[in-house]
Amino acid sequence: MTLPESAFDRTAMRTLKQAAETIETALRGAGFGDWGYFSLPEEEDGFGLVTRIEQINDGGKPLEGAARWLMRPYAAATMTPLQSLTSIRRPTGRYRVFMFVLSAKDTVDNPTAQATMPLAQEWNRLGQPRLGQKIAALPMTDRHAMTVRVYEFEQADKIPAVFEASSRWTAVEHLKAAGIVLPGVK
Amino acid sequence: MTIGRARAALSLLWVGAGGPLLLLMVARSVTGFYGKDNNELLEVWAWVATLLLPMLGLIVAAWSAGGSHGDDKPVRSMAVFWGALLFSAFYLATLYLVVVLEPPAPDPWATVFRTSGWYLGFLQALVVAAIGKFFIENVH
Repeated sequence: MTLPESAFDRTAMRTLKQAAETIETALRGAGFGDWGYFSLPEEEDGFGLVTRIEQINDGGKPLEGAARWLMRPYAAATMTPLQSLTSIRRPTGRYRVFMFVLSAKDTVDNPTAQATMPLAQEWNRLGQPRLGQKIAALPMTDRHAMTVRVYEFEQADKIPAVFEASSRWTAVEHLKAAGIVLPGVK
Repeated sequence: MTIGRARAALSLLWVGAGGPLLLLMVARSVTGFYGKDNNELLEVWAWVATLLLPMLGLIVAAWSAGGSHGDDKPVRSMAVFWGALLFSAFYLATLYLVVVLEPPAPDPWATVFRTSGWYLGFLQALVVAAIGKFFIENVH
């Protein structure tokens, strides 16, 4: 899913660094402490930022405390022996990753159809903690636009995760549920 | 205690505890609890086939082979009977423990079942010895 480009107010951002700082501030406010920056393929004046994978509940809100960052379904890690003996279905968990893309290219809204949990973990592992100085100093232009992609996965414990190609929530609802407040996004 | 009662006690333990475990594994296989991959399902059923079914088979065979002939005669050694019963109970409890602890365990379930085979195989040998001694000793 993508955020409508017009929904992101970038008037106060003169450089890509300021844009990155705006996103970082919004992420910190939502309880994120880790994210990773990426350079964009075939584009030098833009960047991608991927958030840490978070576990969410059926309402789209992040799980409380450390459970938010568990890579196992929370229900699986907290099973009682009785549940463990009588259950005939694996506990499932829902996971979410936000991908912010600031680009000056006319990007096509084409979220990765083959997104997988291991791939999202790879993004988390390979992303740089800071925006490169060269990119950070670049000016924001009229051509720059922000796209937010939301990747949602459902995973039954110990069974490969399934990518939710069609979420029940919009990108804006995901941002709200996560507590990420971006300027201009209502 | 008569041979018939002793055999009934052993049968009750094995069918009463082993039967539900077998049904649970069937239900979990049908619902995809152990995945949809045939090779992975094979791991579970290899575990069931080697650690549970032989003992259930032995108990059923002992019933049909023995019939009721000599059932009212006393057991030759109560120690052997209690040994067979307690070893069986301990072994069945261990099987349940593996099945119960697998879902919350962090390891993949195939690994849990495969590694449990190492110590369960050893326990199974003790149970076979105890039950075998009981039945052979009480053949009249």
